[in-house]
Amino acid sequence: MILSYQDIHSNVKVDCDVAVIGSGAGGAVIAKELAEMGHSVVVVEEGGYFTRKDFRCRPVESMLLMYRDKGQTFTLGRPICILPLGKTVGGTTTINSGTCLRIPPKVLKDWQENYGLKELGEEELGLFYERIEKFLYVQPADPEVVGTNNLKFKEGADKLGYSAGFLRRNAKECEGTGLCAFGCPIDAKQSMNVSYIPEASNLGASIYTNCLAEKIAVENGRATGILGHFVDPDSGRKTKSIQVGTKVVILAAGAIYSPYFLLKNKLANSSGQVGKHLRIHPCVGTGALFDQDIGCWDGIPQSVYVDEFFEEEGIVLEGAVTPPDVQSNTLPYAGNEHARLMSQFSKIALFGSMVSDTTEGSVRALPFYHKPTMLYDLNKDDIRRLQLSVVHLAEIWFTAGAKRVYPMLARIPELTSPKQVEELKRLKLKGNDFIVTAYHPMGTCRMGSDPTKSVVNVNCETWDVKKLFICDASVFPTSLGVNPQMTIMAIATRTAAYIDGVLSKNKCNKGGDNER
Amino acid sequence: MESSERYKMLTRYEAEILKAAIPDVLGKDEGLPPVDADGIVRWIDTQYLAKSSFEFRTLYRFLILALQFFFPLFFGSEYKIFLSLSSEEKQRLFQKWSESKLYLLRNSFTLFRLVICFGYYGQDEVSKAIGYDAESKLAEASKRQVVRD
Repeated sequence: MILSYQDIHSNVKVDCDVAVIGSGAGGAVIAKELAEMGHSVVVVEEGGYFTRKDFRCRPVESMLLMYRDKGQTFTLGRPICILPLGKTVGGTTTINSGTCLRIPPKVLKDWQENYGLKELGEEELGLFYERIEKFLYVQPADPEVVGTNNLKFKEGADKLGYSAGFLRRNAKECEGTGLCAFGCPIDAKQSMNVSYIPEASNLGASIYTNCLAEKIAVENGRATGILGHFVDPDSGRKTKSIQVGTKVVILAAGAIYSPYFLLKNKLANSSGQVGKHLRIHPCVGTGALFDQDIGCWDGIPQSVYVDEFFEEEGIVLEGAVTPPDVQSNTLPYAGNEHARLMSQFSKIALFGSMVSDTTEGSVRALPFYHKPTMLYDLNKDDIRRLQLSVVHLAEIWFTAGAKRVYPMLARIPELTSPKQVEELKRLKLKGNDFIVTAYHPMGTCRMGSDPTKSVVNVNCETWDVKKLFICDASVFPTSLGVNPQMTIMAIATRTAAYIDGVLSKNKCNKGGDNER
Repeated sequence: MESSERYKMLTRYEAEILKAAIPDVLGKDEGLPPVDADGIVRWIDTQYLAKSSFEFRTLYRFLILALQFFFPLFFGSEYKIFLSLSSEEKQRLFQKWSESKLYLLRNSFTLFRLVICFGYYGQDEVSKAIGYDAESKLAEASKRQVVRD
């Protein structure tokens, strides 16, 4: 059952086999898998539970409802990067674009060879990917509903002979309403809130929403429970308490909040690695003005990719479009000039790019401050590749027939000819010249075979606290290079199988008695 | 908005500065509906700032006051408080603020404008004039629900 704040009338004390903190790509999958294997599961989710009836096709409303800090999460550094995160049942999957890609082989090879993760085999992971893809109806985006915006971009890329295609997505009968990032209003996108979480609930898991986990109880070096409070969604005040007694705790609060939770509670950090190695896949975007109507808000916002530059440069061009209210602030100028551009918004196309970053930031838990602080300063190589991304985007837009390109760079409001793209290549840009957004925090509780250099082992169990598992993108040892949700889910499925083995073995050893 | 009206998060003075800034931040174009600065201030106050974090609210209020007292000094030709600038002077100030060489200043303009853009372009009437019809989309979407097998 999925319990909302209104369902809680007194303090809650509950026992279970597995307690999960977070209901995103990691938590939801592990909850469903373990519930299916017959274990009692409790999920604690800080956000509220929203359904398609709450998704009203108005982006800002959705941001206020389902985004952490109302969409105002950002990293500090050069430049300041906007980092939207979901705070709702389903986590960020409820508000992401639904892109489903497997780990690139070269990245997995790097993890195996340089981080001691040989057990993370391609073949084994492949089986988990297949299982997830089947459950989430993963298939390439239907060209009929990708929208003019994406087709125009692909046309440009095709003309240049670049490797391009339609992205694989977790959507069933998608009609291209264009609102993936604000909650799919027809339930086509198979985010966790419509797939794994309802299934976990059907299988007997209890999902407590508006419930903030504050502490993990540890006895004799083993995690034994979760302590927390329910939070009134209107006032933000803590009200009733929750105490979960359990055999296994899964921390799946994402790559920002999982390390923050550990740092704040001084847990699992003998290696000193918690909160370090933050990667975010920095993204830049460009707009392009055409003579004809584009209607960029129609169609699947992220449905086309260009991977021509991935192998050599770690750059993937992927669509990123939002309706006018959210997009308006990315366009240049102020006053009448800005209004003139916005009045032509129906003729403006948009596309983005994502860089597999080598920059390493950090997540900190500062004293006397109740939120994580993220520090992230783009290094020279990532700046160079972001600049190259803008060059490629502009080049493709002009080839597709754009009259003007808006590169979203400081002091370069627009490019009016392909010649200016050549000039842009030669400029020496700084981190602060870009408007950077990022959607994929990773790496802050990295996985590895050396307890002095990593936080969790290959089964996602922390080196320091037994029966405490971390299951989200924070365990990735490096940048993934592609959208991470599928790999989070694959690792969660693998971890669920491992935990099932541990719990079943304990049951056999103790004749089915509760080990705790 | 009557001066006697109370605001939830902003002081009346801050609301007055914001109200004076909105038309020139957004600008005018015949393709767009007129700007209702009163309504946008009310929305920012009750719908956005009231739901935002304390830190964001404080920063935004600081920017409003900085706009009144400091930014005319940085970006104006002669010093006058913001409320006494003409529309042309305000537009020039915003243009210069948005193009500032100092990153934090430039970025603070983006933040200041962001909330105003949400308040204006988020209105159904405005987004419909651009071509994005939230009401129709919602009506269409409500007729359709994908069900898992």
